[in-house]
Amino acid sequence: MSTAPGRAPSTRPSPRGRGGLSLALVLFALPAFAQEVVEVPAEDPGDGYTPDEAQAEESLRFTGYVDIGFAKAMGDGSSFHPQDTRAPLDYGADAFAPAVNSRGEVASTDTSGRFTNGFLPRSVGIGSNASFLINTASADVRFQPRGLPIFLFARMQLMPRFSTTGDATRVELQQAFGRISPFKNHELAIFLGRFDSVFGIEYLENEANLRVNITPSLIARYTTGQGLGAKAFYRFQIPAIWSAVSINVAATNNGTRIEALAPIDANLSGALAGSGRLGYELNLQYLQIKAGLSGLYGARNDQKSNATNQRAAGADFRLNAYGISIAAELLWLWDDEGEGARKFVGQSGSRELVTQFTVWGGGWARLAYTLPWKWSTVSGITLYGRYDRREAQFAGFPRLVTDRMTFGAHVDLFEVVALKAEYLFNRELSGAAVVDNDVFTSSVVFTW
Amino acid sequence: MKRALLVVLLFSACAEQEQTEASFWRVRDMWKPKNELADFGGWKPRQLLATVGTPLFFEENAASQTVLNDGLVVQPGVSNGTSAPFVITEIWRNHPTTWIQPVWVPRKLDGNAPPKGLNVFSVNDDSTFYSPFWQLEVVVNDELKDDNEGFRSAREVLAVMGDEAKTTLVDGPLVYCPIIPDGVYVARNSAGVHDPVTGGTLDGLEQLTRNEAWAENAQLFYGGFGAGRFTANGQLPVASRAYFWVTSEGEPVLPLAAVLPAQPKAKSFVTRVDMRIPPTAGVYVPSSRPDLREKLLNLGLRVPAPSPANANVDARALQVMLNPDCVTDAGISSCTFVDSEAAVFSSGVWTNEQPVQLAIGVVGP
Repeated sequence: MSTAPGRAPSTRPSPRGRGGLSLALVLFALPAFAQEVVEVPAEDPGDGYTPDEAQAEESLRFTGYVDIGFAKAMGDGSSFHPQDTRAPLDYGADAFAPAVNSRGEVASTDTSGRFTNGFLPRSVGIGSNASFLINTASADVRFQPRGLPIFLFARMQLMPRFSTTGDATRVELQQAFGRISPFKNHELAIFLGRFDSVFGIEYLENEANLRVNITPSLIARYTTGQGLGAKAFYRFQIPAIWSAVSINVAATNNGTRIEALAPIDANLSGALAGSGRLGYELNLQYLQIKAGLSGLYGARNDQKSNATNQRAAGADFRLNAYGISIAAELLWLWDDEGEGARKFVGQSGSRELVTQFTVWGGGWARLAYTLPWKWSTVSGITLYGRYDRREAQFAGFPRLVTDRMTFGAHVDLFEVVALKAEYLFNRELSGAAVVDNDVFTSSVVFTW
Repeated sequence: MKRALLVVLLFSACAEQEQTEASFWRVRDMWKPKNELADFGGWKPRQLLATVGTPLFFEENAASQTVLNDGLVVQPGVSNGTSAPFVITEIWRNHPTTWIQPVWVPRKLDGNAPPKGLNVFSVNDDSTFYSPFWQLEVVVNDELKDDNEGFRSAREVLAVMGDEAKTTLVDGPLVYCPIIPDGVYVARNSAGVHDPVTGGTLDGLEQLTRNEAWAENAQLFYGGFGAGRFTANGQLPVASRAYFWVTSEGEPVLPLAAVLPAQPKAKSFVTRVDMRIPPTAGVYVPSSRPDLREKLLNLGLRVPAPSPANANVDARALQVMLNPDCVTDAGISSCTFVDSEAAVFSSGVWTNEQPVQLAIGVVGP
């Protein structure tokens, strides 16, 4: 990838980095003479956690990480009330609340035989037991032919699971794409393949080694799914006002929902889903602000009609300054009721009926502070808190209002190991039955 | 870029469409249909629910016979030779599964309902997972008193269910209770509600649609057909077969007496089976109902004028005879009526099961 004239080389996060926080630290240390320099953002919304080929010395590189977790959920590990006999059970509770890792997998989705209809996360199947987990073993391969504006990337992930009570062990080709950067003097990149979402900002932290905290937000299920198709990213720098404007658009089989909710690998609806984000960023020496508006429109890929649509709108904001990082995102979403008798989920699952669904409003806000000390072994300590809220409804079922408060700490060791621990306070404010589904979870991420 | 856009458009245009559309119609869909000519699984909306001022098909043409209230049309049916009038409250076509959902009934410790406490439906009728078939769950809670209002939502009920020290949960019977919009009754004219077969008056239906309940803090009305109306296999109602006359496959259902299974009151969940009316068959209509005869003749049906001796056998109206000359030549006792499931089988009439299920409430005695 070429570098636009008049600006610094890309400083997108290294696999061991933590995006905006790292950048904030860098900015904190920079002298004032850099005022006129437009810093290239550490988090490149163009491709999420995709490799930094500009820094690659070799044309072929292998990287990856291993995320080892230890978690315990309260209650029975699920969000299901033991005496709730409604069908489907997952329409009256938020099964995604007791998340235990950065994939958004929950402690349990065990329904004791009660019917659910595919609005479920992946489960590690530990119930309320404290358990070690290999959350993800991830391997990346990247290749850039020397002298050519082409870049290839693939990420294979292994998730070992005990399948009797949770999901089965999976191997997933999470990303596989080729990227073409046709102009040397313009920051334009065109992607083909399976790549990160373009909606909002949370997808930037899909991977455990990039995420400040551990678990995704309550709205991540709608915005952070990988897409299979084509996308284009263009960023226009405005050095005079230390700013840049970017646009990131994609046409994919599935939209932006996670793979547990809608198939990615085949187009079932017969139409594509378009998504995009218009972003603005202000890059000053001690302050970085980013804001964006996102949209999604297209056929739902969990069914077979091209007239059954999904629509979403979102807004996001980030601020990094003096070790403080603030990030927030809002989402509204509308799913049409489907015509077909079958609903498709995951990689091969089939359920019943495609129900009208609405997110009346959801979002999250996170405040993180990186302590201004470093040692040879401890390269960073960050304390964080996040508030999530989600108000959503399947037609005919209660309007569920839930929220979550997450508090935790993140310690970087030797710049290759991240220790994280957090507690999730899940609350059912309205509509959903009150259940005990708080979670303690921790994670050690080794990056290679 | 233009080429890419063209590829995308072609891709979209050539897409294969879902051939099997799952449809579901409730009373509210019949009441205010988006399309009056729509096909609701073999019926037009106004065959199922009549509105004020419109005539009823099965009544004679007189101004006084127009409908006084928006209401479900009583359909002609017969079971084991006996008239079994019914209303249709829900229709599913190509629907994967019909579910029994819980309905919660609040009770005080003494077993009585709190005066202000209404039942709570767990699912409202705007859900594709709604059905009129419910598992009644009695929630006995020691905090329910005469002066409080009980529960209004699933959340409230489930909250007390979790407190075993104060709450006892008792499984009640299975009940058939369709949610019905406020203002919809059983269609009646100035003479009341009539059995379309016998012409006799059907009493006691006024309260059928006037029961109040809660669903997610919203008050609703429902039809109280009560217990013993269906059987279940787990959380699924067991379907019986009901037979409806058609002129040919795929045609709308004819306004003739459907053949219901034995004990039709206990079989409210039925699968539609079409019977193709043979060209030689005819429909019996008493001489006292000339307008009804005219309407059926206009549909192309054979409706012989009965001889005086067979002129007014009211209990046989709208039933199909395989040997229609019997009502003109001999006594009606020699007629072969298709008036039971056994008669369907023995008649040799072509039948074909449709991917349509119905919730029906027999309203006869």
